[in-house]
Amino acid sequence: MNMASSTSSTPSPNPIINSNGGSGPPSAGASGQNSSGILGQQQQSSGPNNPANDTPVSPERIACWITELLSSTTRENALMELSRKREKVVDLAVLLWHSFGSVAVLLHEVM
Amino acid sequence: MISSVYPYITPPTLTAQQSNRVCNALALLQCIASHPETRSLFIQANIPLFLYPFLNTKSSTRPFEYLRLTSLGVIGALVKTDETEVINFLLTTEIIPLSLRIMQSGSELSKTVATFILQKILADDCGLNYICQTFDRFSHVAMVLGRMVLQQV
Repeated sequence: MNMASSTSSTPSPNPIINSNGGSGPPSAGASGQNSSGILGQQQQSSGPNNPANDTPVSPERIACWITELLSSTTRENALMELSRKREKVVDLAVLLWHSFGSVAVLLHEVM
Repeated sequence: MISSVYPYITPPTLTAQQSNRVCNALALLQCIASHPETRSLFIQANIPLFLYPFLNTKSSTRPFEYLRLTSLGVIGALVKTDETEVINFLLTTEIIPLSLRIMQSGSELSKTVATFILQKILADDCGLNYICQTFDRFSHVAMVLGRMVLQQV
């Protein structure tokens, strides 16, 4: 497990997450989580103007946190960061489900 | 660092920090539960069942209240989509008695989410059929709803 977290940066997530990696807000609506529903229209044009709360999260950061879930020393922080950012990353669910060990880690946390 | 939570349920000794941590994990599970691409897989893997021990806790301390509310949130995210697959899955589990109990004894927020779950089950034809199948099921639901209405008066 540690080997995975230190060497690779989880190659699989990147291609998928690129879809919202640009400057555009992750408000595609695919995920029914419309935290920014009311502002949706406005955001289309003024995404970068928004304060810290709406800054896009880089796909690399997300991939890094997902990898950090695998190591018990970095897990608590990764859990916190990912759950904070979950509304801003449209495909986080898909990334978590298909990345190695993530769901197992979540279940381990629960049990 | 403590990572597993089940041992701290009985006897109820969960700390605020542990509760926070597991609730972060639950928030990610909720994310998986609400995404259209992963919802079905999430159900097929029976993952909601792992949350039922949390719903069954009775301690009214904050860490447990938070844990129950977040766990209910995951189930709430599932039923929100009005999919028969979700309802059919829930009917094979003991979510109805769990929801009914929280509707009577939980905090205001937990009651709201538990009632929402029951409402979604009742709004589905299969769910309604299931509850009306035996007198016991029907009367249990009717009595709890009746009591809640009386509390409001």
